[in-house]
Amino acid sequence: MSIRVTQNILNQNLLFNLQRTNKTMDQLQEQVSSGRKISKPSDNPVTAVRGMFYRSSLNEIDQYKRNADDGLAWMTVTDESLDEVTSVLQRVRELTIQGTNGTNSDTDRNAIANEINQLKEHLGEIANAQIGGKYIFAGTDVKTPPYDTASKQFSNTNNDKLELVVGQTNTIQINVEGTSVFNNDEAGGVFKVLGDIVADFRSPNSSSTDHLTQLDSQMDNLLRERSELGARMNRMELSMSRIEGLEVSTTRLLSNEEDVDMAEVITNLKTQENVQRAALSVGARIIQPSLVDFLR
Amino acid sequence: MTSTFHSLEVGKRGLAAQQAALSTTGHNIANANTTGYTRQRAEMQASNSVSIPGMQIKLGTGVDVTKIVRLREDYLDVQLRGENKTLGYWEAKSDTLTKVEELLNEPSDDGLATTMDEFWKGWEELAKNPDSAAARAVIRQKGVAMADTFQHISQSLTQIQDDLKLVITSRTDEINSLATQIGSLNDQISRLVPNKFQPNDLYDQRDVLIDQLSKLVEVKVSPPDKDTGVVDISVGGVSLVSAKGPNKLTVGYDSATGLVDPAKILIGDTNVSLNSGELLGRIESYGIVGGDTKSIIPTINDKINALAKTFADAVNSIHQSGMNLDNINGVSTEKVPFFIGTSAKDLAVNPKIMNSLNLIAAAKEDASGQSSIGNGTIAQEIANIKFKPLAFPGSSSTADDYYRNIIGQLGIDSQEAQRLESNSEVIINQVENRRQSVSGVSLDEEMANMIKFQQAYNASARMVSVMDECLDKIINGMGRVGL
Repeated sequence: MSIRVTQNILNQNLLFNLQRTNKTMDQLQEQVSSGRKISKPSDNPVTAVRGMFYRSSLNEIDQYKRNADDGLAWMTVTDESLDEVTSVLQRVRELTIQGTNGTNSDTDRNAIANEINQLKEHLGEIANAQIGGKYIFAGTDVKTPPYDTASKQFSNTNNDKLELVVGQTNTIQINVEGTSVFNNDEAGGVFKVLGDIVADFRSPNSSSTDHLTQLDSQMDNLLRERSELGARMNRMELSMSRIEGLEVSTTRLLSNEEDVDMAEVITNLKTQENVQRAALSVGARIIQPSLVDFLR
Repeated sequence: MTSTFHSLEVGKRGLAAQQAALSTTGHNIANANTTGYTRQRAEMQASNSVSIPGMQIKLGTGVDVTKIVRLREDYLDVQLRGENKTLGYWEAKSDTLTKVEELLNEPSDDGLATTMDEFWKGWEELAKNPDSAAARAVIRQKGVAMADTFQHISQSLTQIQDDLKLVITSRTDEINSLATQIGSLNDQISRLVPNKFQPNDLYDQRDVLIDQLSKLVEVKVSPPDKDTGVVDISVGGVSLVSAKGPNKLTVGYDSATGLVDPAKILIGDTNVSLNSGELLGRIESYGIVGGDTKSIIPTINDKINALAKTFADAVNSIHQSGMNLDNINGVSTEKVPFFIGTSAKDLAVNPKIMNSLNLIAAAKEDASGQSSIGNGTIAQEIANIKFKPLAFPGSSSTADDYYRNIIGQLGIDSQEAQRLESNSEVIINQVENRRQSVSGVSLDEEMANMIKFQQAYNASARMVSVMDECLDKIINGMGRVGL
């Protein structure tokens, strides 16, 4: 039996098919306006779940980047401080050599002692260096000045490490322990050495010769700490560039999953528009005339 | 020799029959756009012939309209109704699943996943700056955002569920109202059919109502009774409408869980098990006792609650092992949980922490039970929960993973429901086309018929005129030769 076609069937089919092209157009238009392939998980569950994963990864990466930035800032300030300590020790060494020279008068020696004393005070200021209100040489006891200005001693004993996470399994220590720079022998450290030199130069007669040895040992210690810090800074910078690389690749993955190919979508949209236009114009022709129009 | 008036009678019958056919055509045209209307046709039959005495022939006596038939194919009704229930079922399910998808709003930059990421980032920041009151205030706010998001999801799910309960009630009412209407049509029909009437239009109305009913529940329709024209309708083997009249469908709820109790879905007093249809789809969306994962809202709700609880427990247990500022400064030894509450509905940041930022623990206790203000180890450990597998019911995964699974499963379920819904739509469209092809009114056809019947009517009238002239000849012209 052949299908008997009535006006209502034509009507209904036209409506049904127009509805379908409209629905496709709606989807495509949403893709164009949002720039994303999917708007609900059911559009494509796999894409949705992967998209969520990459989004979350990007959030992690963002945090790692901030951590690395903060860590580098901290380490840079530390390095600058240690550089200043080096300069101070070098000047002290020059002055000590000058002071131990037998041709100096008491006044000269006093003047040298005073300058070294000033440098010692400055060293105290460096030991109390801060970043964002935190003492950088104080371990985790960041709110208490590690160098006690009253007793003129490096009084901090906190050896805790400050560590930052810059990758799921990558943790980098950012601080240099104050005690190992300013109190490496746990007997007063560099302040004691400087204090001894000052006291020695102030007393007219005594002349000790092991000051230079002690200063050199402090200098060695300082260089060791600085080189370790430098190595850690290198690591941090490496991590930073790795994180940035990861950010680029993850962003690309997310974009591959979620972002629409505009050229493709717009082409599809145009195709759908043509289909709809054709359907509408054909519909207008099919639906209208019937025998009624021709019977008078 | 036949009666002189015989042919006049034949003409008259022709006029009557063509007129009946014309009015049927008119009826068809008038109802061309009536929902559920079945085109009708006047069935004509040559009336009984008469024998003419003395001649070996039978002479035709014209035409009779024996009946006016509905042109309909029962098999297509069965097919349409069978598919209608599937459409109703999946429409209801995909409706709910889409609502849940919209509620969870993933993947996006402001769903629960992002809020959770922000929360972990807050702890990382605190780990870097444990001494900073600002970092503490930030993590407290992110905790509040976390709790608010969970609460919002939970409340919205409850809202959807409440709406579904209303829908179930209105659908039940609709079913009962349809049953009542079908019952009363049955009644009218049963009074006409025994008297040899053909209530075609009542049949149509009844079929439309049955079509509507078939979308709500799975119906089985008996063939109409030969003597009375009454149909019986049963749902899941239990009679909903019979010759005795309609029964009432009721849906009851379990008092403990508040879910629909399958033992309390009754027609009259008999328990009925629903197999398909919109009502079942709504009931399953709302939640049914023993429905397991078919119960959409309770399943999602349980998962979100498990996520909230496991997440909060993990944060709390580490938080309580750490030292807060009051502990470090020796103000107090009290260690408080970060979150309070055991489900998504009542999760909140501890009010004590809302009062004092000092109670947020960021520092780890050393061997001697001390710690310092710059120690952020505990904050870092909390931030690391992001990567730690937690013990969720039925699986061990990270909180992120567990939530992604919820979304993935939801997406798959919703996709399936939408696919089956659109499949059913296509099939129904095809069956509906077939049905229209058999039963629908074609205006072209009706117009052609109209001309056909009009011409036949005219010809019959002419026949009467011709006989009139013949009689005139006999009556007025005979025997007047030469006058």
